[in-house]
Amino acid sequence: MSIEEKLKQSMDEAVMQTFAEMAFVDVLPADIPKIDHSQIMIIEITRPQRGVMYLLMPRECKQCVVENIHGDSWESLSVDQIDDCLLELLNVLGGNFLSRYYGEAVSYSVSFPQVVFDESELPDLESFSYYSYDAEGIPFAVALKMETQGDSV
Amino acid sequence: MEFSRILIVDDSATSRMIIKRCFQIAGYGDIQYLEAEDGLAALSLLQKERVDLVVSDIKMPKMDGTTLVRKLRLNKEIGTIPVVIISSVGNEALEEQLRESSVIAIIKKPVSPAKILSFMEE
Repeated sequence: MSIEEKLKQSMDEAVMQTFAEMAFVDVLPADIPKIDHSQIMIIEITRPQRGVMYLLMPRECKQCVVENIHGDSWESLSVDQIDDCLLELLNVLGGNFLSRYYGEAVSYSVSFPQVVFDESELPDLESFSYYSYDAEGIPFAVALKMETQGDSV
Repeated sequence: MEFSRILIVDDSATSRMIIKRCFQIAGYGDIQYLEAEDGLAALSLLQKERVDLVVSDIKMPKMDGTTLVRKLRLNKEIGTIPVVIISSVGNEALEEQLRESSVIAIIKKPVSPAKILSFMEE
């Protein structure tokens, strides 16, 4: 299996399991070239390789996930509650992906996940590996960039 | 094992809510749940409140779960409280280190009622 294939398989499995077990949402890999998203969430991978993962979700998808996790309507939740919920989802997704990709024997670590307020400061996502998904009819994507011996994957 | 008061330690309020809900769905609704957002707050609370079980994340600001476990074990009064780790990060080396500190279970996120039930029934 090539690195690209292993990355995709690890990401697909991590996304499907995390969304199913945390948010009770069935997710399938999809071929969607561009996702209209609201605020991006980011988590940095610091060990064993440096990397970064972005979660790109439209508001509709965020609402579905947050309402399922909280069991409350979007309108009844504060911005802090919504952000915390989505960041925890990304945190779990990041750990799930890394444990699948590197295996349980490898030590890995990530940063605290964050909401990106100014997308103009982000690098061009065209240099990232892009994985798109269908969450019960709502598209979303994960963008990943891993540094391998100085080269990006 | 019987627990009447459980302390949940995680910097994410969502995660604390999910963990508590999983315990309740698994049939442990009669337990009283206390919460702390990091290891430092947990240690402070443990000095004042009786707790039968600590359920803690690893990666937290101010004081992480590994440090919390280490400091807990150094305290004669609260050092024997059982600890369960629920975390999104981990590896075999870290798990071995935690088990040597008498952590009784390590559960990978996402946590579920089934995982809680499995641990509680062991």
